[in-house]
Amino acid sequence: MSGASATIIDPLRGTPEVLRYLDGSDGVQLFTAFHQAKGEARAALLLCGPIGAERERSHRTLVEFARGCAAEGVHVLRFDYRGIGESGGRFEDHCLSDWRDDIKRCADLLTELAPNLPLALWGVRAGALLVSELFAEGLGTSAMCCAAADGQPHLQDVLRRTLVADMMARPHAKRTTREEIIASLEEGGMANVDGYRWSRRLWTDAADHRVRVPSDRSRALRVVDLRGVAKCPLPAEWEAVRETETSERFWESSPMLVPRSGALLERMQGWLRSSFGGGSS
Amino acid sequence: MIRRSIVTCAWRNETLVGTMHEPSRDGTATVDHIALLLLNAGPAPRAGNSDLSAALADRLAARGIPGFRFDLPGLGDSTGASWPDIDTFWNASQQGHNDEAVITLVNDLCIRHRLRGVLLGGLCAGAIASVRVGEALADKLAGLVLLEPNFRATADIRSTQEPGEAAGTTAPPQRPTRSRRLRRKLSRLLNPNEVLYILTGESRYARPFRPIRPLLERVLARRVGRELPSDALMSAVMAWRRTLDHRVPSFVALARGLGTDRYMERLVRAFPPVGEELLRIELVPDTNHIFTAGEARDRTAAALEAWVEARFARAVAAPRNGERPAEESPADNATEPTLS
Repeated sequence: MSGASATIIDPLRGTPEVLRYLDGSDGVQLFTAFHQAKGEARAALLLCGPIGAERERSHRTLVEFARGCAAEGVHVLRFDYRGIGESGGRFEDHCLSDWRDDIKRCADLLTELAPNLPLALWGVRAGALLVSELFAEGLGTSAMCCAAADGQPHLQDVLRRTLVADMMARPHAKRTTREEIIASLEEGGMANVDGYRWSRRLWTDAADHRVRVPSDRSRALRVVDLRGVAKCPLPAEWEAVRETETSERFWESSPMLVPRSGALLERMQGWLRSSFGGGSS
Repeated sequence: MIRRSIVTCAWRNETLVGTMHEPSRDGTATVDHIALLLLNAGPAPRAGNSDLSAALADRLAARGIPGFRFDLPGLGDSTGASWPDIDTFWNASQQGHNDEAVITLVNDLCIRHRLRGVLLGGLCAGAIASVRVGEALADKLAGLVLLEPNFRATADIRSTQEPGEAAGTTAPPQRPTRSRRLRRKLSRLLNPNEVLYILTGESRYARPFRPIRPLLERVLARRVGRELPSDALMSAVMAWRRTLDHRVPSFVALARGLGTDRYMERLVRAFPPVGEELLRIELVPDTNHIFTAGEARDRTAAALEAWVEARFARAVAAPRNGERPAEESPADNATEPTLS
């Protein structure tokens, strides 16, 4: 079977998944996967994953999350940002602002696919940052942000981890420091980070992206920090929404193909139940 | 811009999910009904580590050659129980857990897309999965694309060296118990080959031994002969050799200086002479095993494109009677391939 979309059934849970490409006005295709809820749906959840190499490492975990939530009666849409994974385009041509637009497009698609259902946003790493911005602007009825950081600190963290991994893998290779790479980016150079070409635009645009919270404190935001990751920057009056999770950092290299993240999935499902009802909490 | 679409393939109770890169109409390649099919790079999703597989498929599609990338069962977007850890996945891959799925996939693509041949490959485990089915699919393979193929058997496989049967179930094996993992680590440390890996810097325990590396080079040189290394994954090595006997050409890309290049040299030396028309080896400098460092992506894509152009550009004129085209017939004076 081939074409604009394909439907598959997850035999373990019996839930259908529709995989399709969205055509963008810029000609770049956006890959989406819609996991249909088992039984009567009570909400629609948009999963916003990480960028770059963190996407490939976390991919199967997020597929499991999507399938797990669909089996619990929630429609789920996951997608790849432009220039990454299954979506078209080149990474070096895009930045966080573009990927934020991708989230908005996918939210529109999910609203079309699941009209009259509350929209929940879930993001991790860069996805969490962008979810916080969009939720603060009024998108969605509920949001959960995992391991979120401001734009440039996030990129610096990725750089640091990449340089350490590279040093371990190639101990005799010529070293470049994080500061040198950033200086080169600021001068208009490109940097290969984990196989992705970072551009000056990516770096400078990241400065405009910060974790945000809604002005209306009644909006249902949850922030989840993972152990071993810098705490998400939050204003003092929002500290009450912070939770800490002991699940593994599934976007990092690990000998486990689906790192121990069951507790995070349970937390997610608990959040969906408490927000939208259904199941036993 | 290369268009992509979703493709699927049913295998047993599972659905394998893939992406097709539609050939550009502006492509200059004159290749007739040949497609690229890349399997998962180890456990990474089908786009590959840092989207290397997607980049290779885009490159060939721009030349008019359709590209397919598929997730095997339990990986990426495909259905099937997820694998617990890399060791379990790698052991099962070496034992042929995915052979049947790959054969189904190639046969299915050839029928649905009326392909004359498939360039089958992948990185690391994807390369080994391709090599393993090479003989069974020889009449449908235009070539093998092997990126950093790791022909070393795991400790578990070395203890038996019995080519495994394709798994009878789609569920992956369970993660080994703690005591088994400990035994595995101990047997690794005590294995003579592991000692060599430690000294060559290829082992995870290698760092403290760096100062005596030059000494090891000499030891290794004495060990290298015309026999297959004792830790070779025999089932895959022999399958590859038989595929070459069937005149199916291979393109191999290796990271220079990381160990797979030396190992490949030992394997090739142990083979009967293979001409460069059958085996093209590209050494990629300043990169890592998954080709994410340096200029590996562009360099590999360019080398693959050049190889495909040189090997298959005239295939359009060949008769479609199941025979290999004339330019693929054995050369009278085969020369051994060189590592470039």
